[in-house]
Amino acid sequence: MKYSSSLFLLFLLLISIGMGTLLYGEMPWKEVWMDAQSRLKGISSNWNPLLDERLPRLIVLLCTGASLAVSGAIMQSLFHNPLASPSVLGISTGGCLFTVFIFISGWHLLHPYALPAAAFLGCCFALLLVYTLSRLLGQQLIYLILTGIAISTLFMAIQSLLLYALRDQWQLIQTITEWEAGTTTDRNWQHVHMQLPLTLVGLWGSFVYRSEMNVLSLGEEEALNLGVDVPRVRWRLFLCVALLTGGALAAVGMIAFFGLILPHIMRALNGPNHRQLIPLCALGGAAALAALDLFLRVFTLYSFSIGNLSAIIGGCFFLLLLFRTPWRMREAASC
Amino acid sequence: MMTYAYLRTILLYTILIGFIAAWWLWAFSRTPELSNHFPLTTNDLANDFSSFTRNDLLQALRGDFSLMGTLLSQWDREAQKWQMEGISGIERLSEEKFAHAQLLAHLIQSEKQDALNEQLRAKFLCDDSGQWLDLNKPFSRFLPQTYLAASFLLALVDPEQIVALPRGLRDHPQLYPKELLEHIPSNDRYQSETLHLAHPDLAFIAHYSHPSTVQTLREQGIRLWTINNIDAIADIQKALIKVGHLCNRPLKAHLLNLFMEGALLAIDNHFLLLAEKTKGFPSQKLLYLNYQNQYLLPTTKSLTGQLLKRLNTHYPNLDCLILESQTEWKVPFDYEKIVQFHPDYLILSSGHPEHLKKAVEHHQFFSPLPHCRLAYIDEAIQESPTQYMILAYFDLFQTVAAMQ
Repeated sequence: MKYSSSLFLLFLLLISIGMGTLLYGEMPWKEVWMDAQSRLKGISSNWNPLLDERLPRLIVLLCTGASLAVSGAIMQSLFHNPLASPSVLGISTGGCLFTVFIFISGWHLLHPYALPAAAFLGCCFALLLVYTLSRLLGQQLIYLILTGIAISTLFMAIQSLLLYALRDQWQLIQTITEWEAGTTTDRNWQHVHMQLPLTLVGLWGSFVYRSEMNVLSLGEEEALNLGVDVPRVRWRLFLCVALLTGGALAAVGMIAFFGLILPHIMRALNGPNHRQLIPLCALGGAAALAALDLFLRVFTLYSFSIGNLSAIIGGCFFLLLLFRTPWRMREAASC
Repeated sequence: MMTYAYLRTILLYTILIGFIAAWWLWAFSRTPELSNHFPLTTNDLANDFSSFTRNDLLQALRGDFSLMGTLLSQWDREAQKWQMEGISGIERLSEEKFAHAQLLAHLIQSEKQDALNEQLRAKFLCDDSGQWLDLNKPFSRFLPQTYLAASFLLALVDPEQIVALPRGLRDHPQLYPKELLEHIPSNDRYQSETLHLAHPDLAFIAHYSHPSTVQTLREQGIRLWTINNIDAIADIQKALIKVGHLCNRPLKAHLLNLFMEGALLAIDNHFLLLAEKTKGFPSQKLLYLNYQNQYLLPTTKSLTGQLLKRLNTHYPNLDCLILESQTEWKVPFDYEKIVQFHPDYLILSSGHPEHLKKAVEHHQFFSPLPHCRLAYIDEAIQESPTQYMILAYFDLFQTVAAMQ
């Protein structure tokens, strides 16, 4: 499909899903709209579902979808691996661990910003730790991956240890489970303010280095020969991933597999050129996550959270990806 | 050239960090709007809405059997008085049950107690997994692995008879006093040798107990008693009677069971009295939500949902939102749904009621609900599937009465 047509189609999809998100809710649209008009005219200062819940939720969904899809595309490109995601460098596990600390301390009730702030700081801390430790070993990508896996495993182990030690506090465990499942319930402007600047900077960085990503996907030596400052570009792109993932984790919680699937769908739609892939991932990711949320709301599927649904779809897609790989490539991989 | 590149990098990072910092500073430095509510807390609730105090009820549920007898007599007298005053719907324990309870309260204080326990104890009992247990020889040392069994045993037997307790019980000193628990070790499934040395006769397990732990207990010669999920108050009462026979305290268990029944009726009667007082007033809407990082509405599958349904039956002037469900315990309930329901009374239950109060007071979303009254309630009590469900129901009554 042509890039412009794909872009246009995704944009149309995004607009229609966005409208659906804004229009769909418990309260009748007429009442909601009248109240919103009074608010906008300054007649009333009352809480309004459109302005204070549906709109911030939509912005959070768009930012999160775009962030996860773009960070997935960046990671897959940097690691030359179709199965790479932000968790490879322990970025998301760092965010999770810091969030669990906040839940344990009970700060999330006393300070509303503690939760998103901890998620973002956790992501940045993990990235800095992995980067610093891997540089002690050398500049090669393999050290970065191995350090990332080690740190990720360590963070997960600490988190498991904490949860196991506190397993009798069922209220705490229930709260953490709710967060880990990912939720878009009661998102408000606090979440938007927390996430939007991170997403804007992260997306801007990803857009700036689109051409370099194309060169990097040829291999590091090739990229160096073509004049790309590989360590610098790589660091900046990782920083973008930390910003995007941190923002998403802060606003919605854990959304598994989303960053893995979307880049593949967009590649299948329009090819691997990152100049086109990144904008398509941003639009496609935003539309897909908003669609998932709308689906859950319309069909009132209480047993599922958006994170669960995304993980189920992701798992199926993962298998599909595996079985659709030509058998010659699989044989080559096994050799 | 090098310096220029460094300066450019520093400038770039400064601009980007500055952009994020400025945004956050602008967004988060604004003082949040204070709502014009004066929310109530459970501490604010006075005790003058009922003829008995919360502390009396708590003490009785903890195993004060003479207090149980006193309270049952008091409730019966009150019920008779209200019936004579013509308040419709007032209920009391049947004469047979009331006399039985009084007799039990008397016998428990007497020296004949042990002989009677021996006589009345069932000789065989079947647990929830279908296993029969021979009770001809009484058990004397117990290992409760479930909160339910531990809670009953703490009320029925001497603390020395309990080998170990689930650790989480210690997080609820409002139900289980520290001084009572501090002499009983915590139950940990890795302490099988310690457990063996403690020689428990009987372990209370659940169908979800760890299979290897169950196997270890079985290999140590400890008899096992399985208790299934508790889905209703009647299940708690059934389990209580069985635990009473197993721990050789059938008298106490029967009295506690009758006390629970009597207490539920007494609280129902207080709701009826409240309904009588507010007769003719317009119907009020009540919403009960639980907070676990998001608001959740309990359904009829949960014990809280069942208590709310019971409350609504005895106080029909209150339109309480209860979702019927056989599959979900709680369902997410967002701000928009809260505003759409437009409650007059909102009860929020949380593990940290004081923290939640602080968070809610500063939230703008209450502005479309200017007349809504708020109350905070302890989640640990509301969701305890033990005899303390009675206390949960009483807390609901106190909260509703205080909000009127």
